[in-house]
Amino acid sequence: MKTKLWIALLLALALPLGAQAETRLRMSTTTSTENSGLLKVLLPPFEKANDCKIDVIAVGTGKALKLGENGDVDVVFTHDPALEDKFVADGFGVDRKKVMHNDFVIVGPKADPAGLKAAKTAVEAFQKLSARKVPFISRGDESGTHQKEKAIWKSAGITPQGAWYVLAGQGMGEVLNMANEKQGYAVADRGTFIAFEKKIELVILSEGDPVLFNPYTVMAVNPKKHAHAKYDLAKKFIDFVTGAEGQKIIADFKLEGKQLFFPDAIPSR
Amino acid sequence: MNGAYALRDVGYAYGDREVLAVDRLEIPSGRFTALVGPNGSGKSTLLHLLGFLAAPSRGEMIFFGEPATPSRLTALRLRVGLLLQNPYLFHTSVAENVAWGLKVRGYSPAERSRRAKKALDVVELGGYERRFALALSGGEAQRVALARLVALEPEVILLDEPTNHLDAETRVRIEAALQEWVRERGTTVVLATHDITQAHRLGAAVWQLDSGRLREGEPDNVFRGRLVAGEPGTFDTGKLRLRVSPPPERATCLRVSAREVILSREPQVTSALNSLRGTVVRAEVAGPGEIRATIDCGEQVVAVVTLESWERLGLTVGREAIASFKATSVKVL
Amino acid sequence: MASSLVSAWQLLWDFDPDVYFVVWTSLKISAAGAFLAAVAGIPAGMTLALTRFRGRGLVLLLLNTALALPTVVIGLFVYAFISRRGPLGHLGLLFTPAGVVVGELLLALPIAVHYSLSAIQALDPRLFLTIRSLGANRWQEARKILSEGRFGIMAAVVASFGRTIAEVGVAMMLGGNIEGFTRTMTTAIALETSKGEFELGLALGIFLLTVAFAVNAGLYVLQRSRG
Repeated sequence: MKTKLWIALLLALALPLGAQAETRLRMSTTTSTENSGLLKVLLPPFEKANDCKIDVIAVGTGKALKLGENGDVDVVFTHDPALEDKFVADGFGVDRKKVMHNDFVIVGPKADPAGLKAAKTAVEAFQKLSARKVPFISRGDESGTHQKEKAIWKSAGITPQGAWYVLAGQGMGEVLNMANEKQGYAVADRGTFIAFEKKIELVILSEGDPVLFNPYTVMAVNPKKHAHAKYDLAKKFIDFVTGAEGQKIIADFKLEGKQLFFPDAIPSR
Repeated sequence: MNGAYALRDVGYAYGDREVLAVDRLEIPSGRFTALVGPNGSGKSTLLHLLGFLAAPSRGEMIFFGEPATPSRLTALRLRVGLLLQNPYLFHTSVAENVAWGLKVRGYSPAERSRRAKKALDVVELGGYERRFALALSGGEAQRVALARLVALEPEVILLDEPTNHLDAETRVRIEAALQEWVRERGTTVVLATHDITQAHRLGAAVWQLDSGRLREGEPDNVFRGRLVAGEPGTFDTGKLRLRVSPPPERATCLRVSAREVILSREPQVTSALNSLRGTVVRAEVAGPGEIRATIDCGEQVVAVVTLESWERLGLTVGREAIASFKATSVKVL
Repeated sequence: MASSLVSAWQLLWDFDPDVYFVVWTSLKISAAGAFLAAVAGIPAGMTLALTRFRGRGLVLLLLNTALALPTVVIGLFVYAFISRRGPLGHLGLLFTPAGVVVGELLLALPIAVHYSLSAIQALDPRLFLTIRSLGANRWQEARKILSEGRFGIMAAVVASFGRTIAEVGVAMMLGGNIEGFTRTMTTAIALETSKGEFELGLALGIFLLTVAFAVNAGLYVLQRSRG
């Protein structure tokens, strides 16, 4: 009698695990993309129209591309041109298309001890930060944000070093929290910052420099490298986000009443 | 041969230490056989072999005419019932304990229930079915363990000190039940006991165990009596006093091997020795060059001595002699 | 903080579907992992307790090492195996609930073995002679041993579950924290906290604490009623 109970329990557990009958498209993207909330409105129309489910795996850009390289996902949605170039050059990605862009901002305490407000460019801002040695929290995780930050340091000709420069090795949210705690500075994507604005005491101190531009790209995993990748469905997805419907959703998406992303495939302006 | 067991040159060893040596053992079927000996003499080991819990290190065992080979042990276990000293009861009800052996043998629940009830009646625990087995007293637990065996109605029942936790009254009734079992079913019963009077009461054939060696027949020199309070190591048989070393806490029955009794004409007076004066009442040949002599010292003391010593001492029936044995040779039965 | 707690309770009380779906995913995956660990671990623990074989000492040493392994290490190894690049990649286990179950199974297995081993070693040695003398064959012996040691064995199951339900590193690495698919209570808490969504994180945290408490209470009761 007891054994029958156990068998019933086992079956009951096994069923939901086995029931993955519907088609699932796997997409890797960055944490900031997922955290922005855009995907929650962008994906469902596609899922419905194509009777599938999209599994979103949100990690740092480096890992997102690595997943594509390993064939663990079918489509990649990232924002790091340099790494993306390499990805395509190595033959891992195909059908690369520009989707949208948002921008990065440099945030810090209202008091602005480093005097960033006076800086005209991002590079100048970074020079001020390094000179004053105020606390600066870096993503430190090879994410798109981190790559952008590193590029600016390079342009400024500075190698950031010292106790003031903290490599967090964590996601955007954690970095903002940390900067908030330490009353320090950080580079953040506008989307995540807007989402956190109400919870922290940091403000935007430098923005608008084209160098802080953050373009998003979508790519399908090359079926020649990974035969099992769902290429057809991935292609359909790419056409969707760069098509009229997808681009409109992107343009209409607002966070705290502000537009976050600007479509690039079909510019709205 | 109408025998339940026949053992030849059987030995059992732990590692390289042999703890049991049986040159010869025959156990007739349908009767009582008693293995008598002090604790540690190998009774339990022998019962384990007879219960097919282990194979002997050497020698052969025949069970009802067929050899008990190692491959057959598991099957043979199903035909005998073994009651261990200090039995272990399962953490469940009395009825489930008694019926477990039947469950193992594939009896139906109805049949198990019927047999269990019957077995509990035999040991006079009728009505105890639902009680939690581990909540019983020592005596009740021993009877439940016995019922567990009885329910199986095996051809052979092996008992290791089955009544040592029971009061005299219950013991008498259990012994009566066993006798009825043997009479009605022809069950072969082998029991290990330290109480030779129990063996007599049950009319059992007696084999004695001494430090792992088995011999047919009753032990020589069994003394019954009481320890003297206030004098540790002194035992009073009513007719004489013996010194026992090391002093036991409890003893009602002592034995001394006849081979450890020395005969002399003069008394040997040391505190470590029991020296008894008496008269030779019987003498016979015990084996090549050996004499078995019985000395009446108040109690009958049997000594086995060499023919040479016998003649040197000039002993014969009717002569006076001193029988001596060390206090350390006296064993508690 | 207080208002967050209130909002958290609100979410639980209103049966917010997001919260409860995550809870259900957690329970489902952890139960499966613990169950499989028990199914494999209990016989293994029993064998270790009852048989003497060459290399037994080594196995015990490995067991103790496994108990002390950080979960991220186990997660890493399983990841290497089930990623498309790895030897078991063709099974497509990564980023699915089944993949997480595999990781949690490996996590809980040493616990199941350890508890079962202890439970059987604690049994009265007379038990083994008794069941053998009553004529039981191997299977019957095993069943009775498990029955006599049932409290310790149940503790093994409960402890395994306690381990799997509380796990975050393995669930994150192998499941990918995919919304509506492999997001468990623990990975959701990690995510929501990183987003600053304390209410949701707290709600899940409260639920998880309740489960952890229940598990430990159960364990306490079981271990006290040994024998």
